[in-house]
Amino acid sequence: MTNKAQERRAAQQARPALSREQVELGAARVIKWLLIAFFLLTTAFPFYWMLNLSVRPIGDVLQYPTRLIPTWEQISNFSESYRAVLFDFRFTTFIGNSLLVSLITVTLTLLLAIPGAYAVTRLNFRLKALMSWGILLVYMFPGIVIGIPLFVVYSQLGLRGNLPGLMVIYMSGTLPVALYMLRSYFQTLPAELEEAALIDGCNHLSTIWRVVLPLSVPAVASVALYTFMIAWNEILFAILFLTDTPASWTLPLGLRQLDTQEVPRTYLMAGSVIITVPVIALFFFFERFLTRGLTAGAVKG
Amino acid sequence: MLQTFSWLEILVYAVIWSTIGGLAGFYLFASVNRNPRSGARLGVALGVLLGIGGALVGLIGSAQSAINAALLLWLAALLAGITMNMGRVGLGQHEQRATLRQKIADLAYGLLLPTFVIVFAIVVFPMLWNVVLAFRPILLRDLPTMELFSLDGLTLDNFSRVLSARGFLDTLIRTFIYTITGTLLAILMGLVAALVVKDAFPGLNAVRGFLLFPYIAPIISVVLIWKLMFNAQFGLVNEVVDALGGRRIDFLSAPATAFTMVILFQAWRYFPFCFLFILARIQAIPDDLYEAAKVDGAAPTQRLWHITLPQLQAVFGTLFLLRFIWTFNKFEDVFLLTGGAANTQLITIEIYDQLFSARNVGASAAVALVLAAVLMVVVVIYFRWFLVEER
Repeated sequence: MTNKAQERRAAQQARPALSREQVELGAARVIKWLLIAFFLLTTAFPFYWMLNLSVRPIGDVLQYPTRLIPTWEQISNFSESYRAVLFDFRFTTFIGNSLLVSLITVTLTLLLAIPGAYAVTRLNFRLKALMSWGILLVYMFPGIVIGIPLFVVYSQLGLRGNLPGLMVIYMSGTLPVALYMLRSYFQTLPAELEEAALIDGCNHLSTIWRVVLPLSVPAVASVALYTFMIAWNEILFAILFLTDTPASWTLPLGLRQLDTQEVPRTYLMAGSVIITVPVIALFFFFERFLTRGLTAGAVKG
Repeated sequence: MLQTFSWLEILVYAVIWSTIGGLAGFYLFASVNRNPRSGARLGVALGVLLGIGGALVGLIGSAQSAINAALLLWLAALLAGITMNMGRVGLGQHEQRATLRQKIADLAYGLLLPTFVIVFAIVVFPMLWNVVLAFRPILLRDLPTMELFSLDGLTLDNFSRVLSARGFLDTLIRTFIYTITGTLLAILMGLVAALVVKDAFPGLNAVRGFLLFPYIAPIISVVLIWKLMFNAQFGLVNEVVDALGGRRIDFLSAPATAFTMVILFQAWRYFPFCFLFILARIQAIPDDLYEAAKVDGAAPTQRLWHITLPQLQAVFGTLFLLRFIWTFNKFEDVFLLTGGAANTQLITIEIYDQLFSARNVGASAAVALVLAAVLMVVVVIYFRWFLVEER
């Protein structure tokens, strides 16, 4: 036996047996990476697969169901399926409708929610508690239950298929969220700034415009994005009210109506990519603001 | 000839018209520097007079004409405000006379009223009116011609039809199973995800972003990709099943698997929500607790079990309540995935089916009322239990 081997054995004996702490930490490291792989596989991969299927013709999908990377030819011809969806299946109209509905909903929501949130944070009035909590409670109300009476009223008024009618409904959902998020943000702002502005001769409205708003850009941005996402993704009321009038279909409804036997799956996936990409792009762009907004109790879903 | 109305119709019309008139009066008076409260009172009186009077003499016969009248009234108020301001006619001195307290309160009402009215009109009022609808015999084809707010022919038929239908109890029980298991799974997945990403590692931000994908993507696109991935012919999952030597399954339409699939979908789509809540709470746990435990010789699993999890108890409670309510109310997920076929019928889908398949508005409202009632009972029980636990 060489000298070296003896030394090594001595060193082994001197080192204490692995403690429970070390064993567990080692195991935890392995498990952690396994879990990260699992989560990436289940969350990111389906979206990659959506992209993948959106460029491969259905014949190719049937023949090679597991082709993970599309051929170069398929990738360079990607515009074929997207063009078909956009122009042959009138997705341009749906995109226009969806943009119109979402952007107007966002604008009106902000226009009403910013002053409203200011009122419930800074002003004192008798019905304050009722108004702020009552509006928050609306959060819990089931959409489908409200849908039935609204369906009845809208049918009688001839408002079904009418986009402004839909926007009002969306606003009833986005206003409480926006009000709640903005209120929790306004509470973190120092009231002294506004008091100074008031003393210097601003009235409350110009204080909101000149002092509160510039300080709340991140919060307003995240509220705008959430409101946009809610309106952009919404499908229940679109199904209830717009199904009979194809000219006013929003993007989610249009995509749903495409889901029939006759339509190639490639087009379906191209449509899915078109509707998903704006949301995810916006989200990554504003991620910093958004995660905080989510935990501030926002967004119903 | 005078029309006749039930007391309920009079009440509903009074509420609607006093809202319409009150809003107009409030803002008109505020714009000309007079006391907005007296403006609102005047507006309420005028509105009710106009609305109910118009309905009684038959001028306002349909809902459409009521909307026109309301819009006309608001337009008139707007024009009046502008002309009075420009011509300096009838401007008051509210600014000088009113107390600061009243001015502030008036301002607050002015800022909040539109929101309050929208939320009331679109959420609270339909919710209440749904109760009446549930007792009325209305079919889908009656909608264009029916009396909106009448109390004629109230009946329990809708309930007896709905409750005695075969499978209703099953649907209710299934909805509970779906809600509870889906909620618990989503929380569990969220907890695991939060524990995995709580410490920094390379690529953390990207991973955290990906984790939120299922939650932020539009429901229709994630449903479509699930349908394709679990497709029997060319779905990727079935290719894996094939490769492992199993038999291909049409996961989303086979009665044996469809229900499990919709629960898994629910967990997959909403775990990011739970993840964010839990992560925020985990990061707020003070480091001293862990340090102290380490000194006392607690191993990582013991620290997890005795420190992290107890600290998360309140978050779990809140998350369970929120997710329970929202899942119980959820319609579009399962509707789009399976349409309620293959043993996945839920109570929310039943509401839709009653409306569009059975074409029975009353029955649909009755199911909706059952849903709302069950939900309310659950929430009350939960709160009592939760409050007792807290004490």
